[in-house]
Amino acid sequence: MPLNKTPLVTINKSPLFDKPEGWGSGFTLAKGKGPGVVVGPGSNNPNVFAQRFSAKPMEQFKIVARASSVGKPKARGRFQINWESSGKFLSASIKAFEVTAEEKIFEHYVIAPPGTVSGTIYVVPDKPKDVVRYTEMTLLSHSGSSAEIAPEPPQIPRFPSKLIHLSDPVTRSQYGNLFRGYDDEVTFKEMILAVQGYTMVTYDGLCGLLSMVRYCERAGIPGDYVEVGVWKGGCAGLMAQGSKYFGKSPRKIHVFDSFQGLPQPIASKDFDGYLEPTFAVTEATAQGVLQPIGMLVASENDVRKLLFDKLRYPKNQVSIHKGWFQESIPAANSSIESIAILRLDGDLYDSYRIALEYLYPKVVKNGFVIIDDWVFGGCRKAVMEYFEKNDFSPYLWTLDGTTRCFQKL
Amino acid sequence: MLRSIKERVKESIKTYLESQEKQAKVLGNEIEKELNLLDETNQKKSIVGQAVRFCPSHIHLSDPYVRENFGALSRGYDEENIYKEFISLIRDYTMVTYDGLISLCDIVRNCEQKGITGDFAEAGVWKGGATALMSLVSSKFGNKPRMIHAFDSFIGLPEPIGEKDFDVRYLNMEETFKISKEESRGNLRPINALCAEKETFRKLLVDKIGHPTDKLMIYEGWFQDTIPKAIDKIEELAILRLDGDLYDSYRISLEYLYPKVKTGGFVIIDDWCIGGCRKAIQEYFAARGGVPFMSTVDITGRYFIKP
Repeated sequence: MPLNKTPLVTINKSPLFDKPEGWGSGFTLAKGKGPGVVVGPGSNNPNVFAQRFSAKPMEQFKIVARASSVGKPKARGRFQINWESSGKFLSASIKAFEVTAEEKIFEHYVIAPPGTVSGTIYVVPDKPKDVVRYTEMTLLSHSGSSAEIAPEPPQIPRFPSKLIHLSDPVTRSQYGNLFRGYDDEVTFKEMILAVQGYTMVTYDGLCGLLSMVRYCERAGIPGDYVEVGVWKGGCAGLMAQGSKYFGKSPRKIHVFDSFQGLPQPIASKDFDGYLEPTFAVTEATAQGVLQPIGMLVASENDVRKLLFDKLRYPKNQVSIHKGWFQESIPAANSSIESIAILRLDGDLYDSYRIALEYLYPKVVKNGFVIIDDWVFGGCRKAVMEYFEKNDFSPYLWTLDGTTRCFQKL
Repeated sequence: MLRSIKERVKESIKTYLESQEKQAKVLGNEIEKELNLLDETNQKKSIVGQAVRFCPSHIHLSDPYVRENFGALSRGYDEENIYKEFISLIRDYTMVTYDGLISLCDIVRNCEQKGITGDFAEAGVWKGGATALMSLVSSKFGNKPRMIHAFDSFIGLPEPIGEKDFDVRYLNMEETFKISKEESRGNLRPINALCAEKETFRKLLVDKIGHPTDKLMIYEGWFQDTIPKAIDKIEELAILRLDGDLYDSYRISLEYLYPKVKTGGFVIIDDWCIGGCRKAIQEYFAARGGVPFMSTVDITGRYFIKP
């Protein structure tokens, strides 16, 4: 259904658009020369303009802007409408666009959410550093019933379906909109942000881990948190934050890593067609020798920096067990009494075998086991062998493409 | 009418999601600052590089974009391609998200492959999409058809109970079901919300997907009447799927059907975003050692294994 071409609000014709009273204190500074208005720069955006209009729930609007960059070849402008219900903020429709020195027309469709009584449209730069000249900002309204109209283009922020990583630039730029439905997710997101760059685990893997930590803390599941294969310590850092936030006192955390990366895989166990190219190994360099192959190397210092300097976790509550698992796990065995969460992230068959053999019996009733490397054949083999040998076979909860976990019931 | 209620349910869930996203947005501004810093130092490159993207919290098969890109959709489950074929068969018969459906498939496969015996029961079947999906996955991975117990009024929801079901923190009942807190006294009368015809359900199960009629029990009526009477016909349950939306529906289902779930069996909760559902579950388990650990499926889906 076509939009009614009669503009509802035409901001550039508004009596306030080019008058100081429509603007914050930055108006004079931002006005600049030439047609329209110039908005930005400024960290608090004093030089923005907003205008309120009445709107109905589910009403569809089209916004048209004519804009160009000022001073620089490129800048980012932004469409923004805040939806309100009798003065109460409901939600915001935000869409940024890139402008160049050459003036162009930009269009955007929005739908007012349920409960809307009014909206406020803004004339703003996208980020504080952007300087944008607007010569038009027009809001067009649809006159008829909007119930049957699908938004175009889709308004919903989108993310990869299988592996949502914070290393993905789109995911990062839309992080504020990321919501997968976990309880306390806003808190989780804050904690995840603090370990960003220290982990390669997906968003789902991290939220799942925090759900388990929260359960252990609140339900009083006893035992330590143990991670086998910590890399830079992101997941350990998450468990530390979760323990501090949801628990009464910081739990003991054990981290195991060689801090020289992976040792040689075992060709007969680990080779699955996927691992070889991933870690650039051949039959000759996959004989299970405990020598670094230069993959997934992180330093102990990264972990210390994160846990102690950044997150301020008490030093006496963290044990860092450095060395090959084949040596460090049996050696640490007596220092670990019970385990609430056992997080396995050793990538290789033998790493999983050793960790399960020594550490799984210490996992308490209602404690959790997380398997991070389900994509690798060696990991699957070691896990399935262990289940078979010990005659149990729990349901593995799928967190993402590579993470499986279960609760020891 | 039916369509408009469906739309309203969706809208209301959307509003709830948006309120969550709003909170996230406040944080988002802080986050953006940090991320921009990271961008500038160019510390990390994308290791994802997937072109097709989906909404993270409610991937619905009613969304044209999801339908169009269905082939590219993957949440990382084993056997996901088989599940997807089944899901596309029943996509017009359910309002459950892709995450909810795919995890249901995985649970059914687990029951078949691990030999967890017992019937399947669903309290609140609507048009039968989830029920049919259980049957399809079961027939693919199992040896013989399972008995399925399907409970529904087939005239939609009854009146909620004002003080139990209305909770401002969760789904807006008034907006979703067009009934006020004052009018909601728990009377067993239809409020014209979420109605599906019994014939639609039966046709899907029997005619479309071929579930054997002698392995299907349809209990038509209010849960308060049907569930207490049905328990003699149920020996043990491998999967109990609860989708009754309201406090009292959950209370009744848990009271009578939960004891039938065998140890190692699954309990799936579809209405975690509704205050009444949470309340019923918390009350039921408060006297039984606390709410078990529940795995998160999506905004409204949770499940746990009976210990």
